[in-house]
Amino acid sequence: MMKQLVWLIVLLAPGVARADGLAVDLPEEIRRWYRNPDGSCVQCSIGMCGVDQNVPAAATILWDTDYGPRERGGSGPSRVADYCRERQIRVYNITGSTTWDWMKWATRNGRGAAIGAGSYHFQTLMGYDPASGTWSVCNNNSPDLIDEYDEAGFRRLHLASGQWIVVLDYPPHPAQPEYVRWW
Amino acid sequence: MQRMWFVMLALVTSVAQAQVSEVDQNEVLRRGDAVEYIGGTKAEWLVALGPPADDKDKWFITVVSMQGCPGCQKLKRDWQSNEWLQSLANPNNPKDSWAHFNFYDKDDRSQNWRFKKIKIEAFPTILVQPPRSGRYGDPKTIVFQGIYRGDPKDLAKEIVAAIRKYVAKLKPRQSKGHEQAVGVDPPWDPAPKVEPEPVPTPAVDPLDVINIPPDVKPAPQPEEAPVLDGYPEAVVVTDAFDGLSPQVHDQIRSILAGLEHRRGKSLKIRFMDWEDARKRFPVRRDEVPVVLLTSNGRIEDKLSARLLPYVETEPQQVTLADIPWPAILTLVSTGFSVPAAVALGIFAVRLVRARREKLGKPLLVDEATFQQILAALQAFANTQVKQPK
Repeated sequence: MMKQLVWLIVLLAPGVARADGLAVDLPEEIRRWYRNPDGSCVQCSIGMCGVDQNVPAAATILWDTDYGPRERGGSGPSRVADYCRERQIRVYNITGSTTWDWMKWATRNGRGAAIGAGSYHFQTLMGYDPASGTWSVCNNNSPDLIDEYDEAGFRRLHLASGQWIVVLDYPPHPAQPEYVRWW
Repeated sequence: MQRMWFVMLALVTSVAQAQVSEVDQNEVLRRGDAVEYIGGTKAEWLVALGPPADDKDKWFITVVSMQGCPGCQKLKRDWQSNEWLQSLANPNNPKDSWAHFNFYDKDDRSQNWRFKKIKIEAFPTILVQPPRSGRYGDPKTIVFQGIYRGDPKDLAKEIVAAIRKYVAKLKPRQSKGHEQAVGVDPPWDPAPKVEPEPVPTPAVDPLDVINIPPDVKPAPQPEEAPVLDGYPEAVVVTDAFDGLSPQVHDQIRSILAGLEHRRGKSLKIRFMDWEDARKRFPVRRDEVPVVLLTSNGRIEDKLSARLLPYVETEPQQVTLADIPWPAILTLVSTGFSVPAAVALGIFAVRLVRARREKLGKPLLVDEATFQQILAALQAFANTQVKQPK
């Protein structure tokens, strides 16, 4: 019975991916910093994007630092606009039907996004592969994992929370540099 | 058991409350389709709801610095003000920057994991990498790794030189599927393109250029050919080896008689062998025998022997038989008509011309022109013929 239950969970659960090659390629150790402790999923997701794009004001949003006081608890677009203005974080605060275009733009250009995903929940969009139609999402309730969704599954996920995303207006990071003998 | 159910109910309730408070979905719905941009201390509503242009093809310039490093601070200041460095990356204007620019602290635990695969021994270290789009090869490749010696211009030149060297080494990207590369190569091997040799231009010192327009000399007038007043000539070119057959001989004599009759007694007739004639006139061997009609030393007509059977050598005589009797009957019976009038006019002109030829008087137009005029008049008369309704 237990074995069958485990197989069922494995089959029904979204796929698990590695961060390498994704727009947001944070290692597991860094992602764990943004585990959701108290219903602060919006800030956890924004914080994860902030550390990916090296924006300290956004990366430290969950804690009291020189960049400002911690921002905890639930949020809406207005609250996000307020604390981003206070902390001087440049963001696009997007609601409505255009979130799909913005999510694809962000991942295509090496950026992540804090996205509505799941009922009353925010997660971090890590990447999107248009060839296979695979969306990679990191849930701050389980930051060790990177979940993969197909087009239909991701659509249900994003619509469940309402179409709202936050994209940081900063340059993306380079790929992890390596020595390749090209000369 | 009851306590257990109570605990589970409390847990579910708390989770539900947490979910309700995490995201304000009501506000999301109230906002509808909206893009709010928060830029520093400002916020604005963007009219265009779509995302900005892609920047995935931008190169990456990364500075790895160290706290308490004077060179690192100088480089940071120089990159915010120096035009040479800003031509490569502008930290103050990322949207218009040629390359993405990132400034990292080696001691920042949130970022230093990025450089664990490379060796950095001095600071600041500048890294240059290709775009993450893959357009210029593997984005992990380090195209340039160097340190800052204090001269922003030198650093910019080093970076540019490295990028150029790297790009030059890149292999051309393979097309996806040779069979799909329609239109890339022609289906045959075209001849190699021959570039015209450049015309050497004289080296001109700009200081030697004279702005004053030179005097324009009048164009030289071509030398006019010597006028041989009143010298019509018929030159009969024959081949001494072939000779003339009796029939050709008679035909040429008829042509000459006709020409003499038309041109008058002033027409000179000369017989010339082809070997001599080809030095003076454009005559081919296969044209011989040929009659050249010249005037004032210039060839006006050339009549080859092949056309002799088709040449009418006798001047046409205009007789009573040439009177257009149908035209006269038309005029008498039905009254004036253009075709009938034209026919009578043609007859009259031919009659006058024939009389002038007979008397040796000069003709107003040559025979070819005269025939063209008659043909034009006849064509005009035909257009005036009324069609029965």
